[in-house]
Amino acid sequence: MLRRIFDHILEGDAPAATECVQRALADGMDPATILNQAMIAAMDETGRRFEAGEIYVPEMLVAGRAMQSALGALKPFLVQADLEPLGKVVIGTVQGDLHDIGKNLVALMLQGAGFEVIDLGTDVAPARFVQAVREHEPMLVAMSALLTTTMTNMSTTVVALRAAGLRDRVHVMVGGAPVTRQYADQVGADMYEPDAASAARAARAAAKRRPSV
Amino acid sequence: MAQLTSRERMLRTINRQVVDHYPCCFMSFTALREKLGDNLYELTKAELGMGLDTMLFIPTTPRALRREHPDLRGLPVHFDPQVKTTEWREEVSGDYPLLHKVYDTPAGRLTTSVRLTEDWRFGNRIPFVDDYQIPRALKPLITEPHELEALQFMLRPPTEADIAAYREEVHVARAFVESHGVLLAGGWGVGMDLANWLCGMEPLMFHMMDRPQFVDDLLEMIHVWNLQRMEVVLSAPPDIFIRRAWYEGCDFVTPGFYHKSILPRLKAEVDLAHQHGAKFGYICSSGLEPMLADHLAAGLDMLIGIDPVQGRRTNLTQIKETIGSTTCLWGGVSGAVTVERGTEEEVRTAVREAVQSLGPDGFILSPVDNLTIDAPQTWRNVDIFIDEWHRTWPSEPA
Ligand code: B1M
Repeated sequence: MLRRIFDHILEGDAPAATECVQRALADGMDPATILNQAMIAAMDETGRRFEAGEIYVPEMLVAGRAMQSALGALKPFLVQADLEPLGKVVIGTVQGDLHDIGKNLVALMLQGAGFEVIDLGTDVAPARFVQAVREHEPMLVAMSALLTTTMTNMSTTVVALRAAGLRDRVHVMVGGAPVTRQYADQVGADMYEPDAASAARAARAAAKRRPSV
Repeated sequence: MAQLTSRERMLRTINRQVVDHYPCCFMSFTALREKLGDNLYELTKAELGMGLDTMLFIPTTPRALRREHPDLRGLPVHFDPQVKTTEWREEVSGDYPLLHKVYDTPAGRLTTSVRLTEDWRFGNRIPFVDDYQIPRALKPLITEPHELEALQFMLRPPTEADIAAYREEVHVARAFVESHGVLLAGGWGVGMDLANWLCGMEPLMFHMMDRPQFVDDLLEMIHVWNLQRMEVVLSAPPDIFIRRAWYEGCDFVTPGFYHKSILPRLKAEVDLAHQHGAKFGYICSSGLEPMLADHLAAGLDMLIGIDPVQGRRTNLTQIKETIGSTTCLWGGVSGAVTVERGTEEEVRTAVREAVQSLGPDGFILSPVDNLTIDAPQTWRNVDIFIDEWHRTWPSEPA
């Protein structure tokens, strides 16, 4: 059954993936096993194939949709079993920027990696990031930017987090087509990741570390 | 070799014949165009004055007059006279107001709604299609296959009046390009970009995966419309015909779908341009790698918009190796990252790397895809860009 859930997510078949999860649960399978060995594993494989150029954005979107749908069926059981997500992530595209396809992929992969994702959407003002950090206490703030004209708002957001005394409580990750590692250093982010799969890997690694700024 | 006119240099480059030096023609230069009141004749003259190669694009209708399709350059878009539109504004407490638009057609009703964000540029009006409205749309115009019947009433061929106006412009444009020795370009063709405007980007990707026939039918409708418009534009005939295809890279379309649903229609459009003696240019600035074999199969004469920085899956060397011996490559330097924001050394290095990877034969240098910021750094870097272009010319002209 785990194999079938894995395959259905990879194929992007949401109804089949959800039905298999329901059947596995009805058969008494451990929710954590379903999550880790079938669902997260399938999203890891999706990320690997995407990075390798074996699949593309549309395939990744449908895999993410299947994951979300199956997760919907699993969630009540995870709560019952007291299984905590890996951590919380607050994600958004920075102020002035409405591009969200890349940001959505990153959010999907983070969710697929076991994080609870709070997606603030696009055109997110620094104050909204600050407010969300206060409200949700995430381990990571993830910012996406596609426009050179507004990517400076990554820096403004980091400054706002610092001013609010929150910067040392969270990791900050940035990404998007014009963003580079050097730029990430410049704006005071902890991490730069070039794509959605590597972003999920880096977030997992960061979840094991305390923020250090 | 005697110095060539810009038109000769561009055409010889596209045809892979010997040139005095490789050309540099900016694919878009909004910062300069806007300074010149969106007048493309003035833009062409100004670019020539800067020592650049250039082209006159027809029809020259400025953006402000393309009310229903600001981001689709070209002939006016007309609806069937039976189509009635209604627009209204809805106040939403605690959020942006909404704008709604209804198109009543003999085959049913189409509706769309957008959030009226502070930066909404169109007042209390929603254009038919535009880049700007996609991310603000709460409901895109087309969501279901049965709506295509109604859409048919919005995609009407050019009218007699449009054709007459175009012919008149061709007269003036032809005299202009001949006296200035520049290329005449026409367009834009469109395919998947229009589908994205109509359906929204992520919804369209889901349709492509869930109901590919729906998207295929939509593309067929767009293709037929496009051919009708192309016939008119190509009657000039321009030296080159350009199709916009920003949303035809692998970030929007799977290679399998591209091969099955886009390639055959694209090829038919390329063939049509060739029948009229025009070369075919295709603008796509990201996600190129997996599509290169199909670009070759379509017979593209120019691939426009090669961006080494913001273009994902865009490897210059691979592009040159795969299609560079038959397709002219246009671009090579990021406009927004390198030219608008880079240091002198970054601009010079980027120009050298572009010509090393993509040129010098069959290559047209350009910032991709645009320079929009009217700031001292942009203008300084444009001068450096042009200077470095000169430095990479052969010391002994061919
Ligand atoms: C937190 O950690 C991380 C880690 C990794 C992260 C990350 C965060 N975020 C992303 N990643 C990474 O992971 C993802 C996948 O693995 C990747 O995400 P990407 O987002 O890079 O990739 C996506 C999967 C696919 N790529 C995309 O979705 C972007 C593609 C291109 C063609 C593009 C699109 C689609 C759009 N656009 Co826009 N658009 C372009 C783009 C061209 C390009 N070369 O990038 C670009 C970005 N746009 C540009 C422009 C100018 C504009 N756009 C505009 C509008 C739009 C559309 C709405 C039409 C549409 C976006 C729809 C949407 N829902 O997102 C306008 C701006 C609107 C605004 N205020 O934001 C407008 C101003 C144009 C206009 N007509 O008005 C250019 C930017 C130039 C600049 N100054 O930087 C541009 C490079 C095109 C170009 N070649 O000139 C990685 O970067």
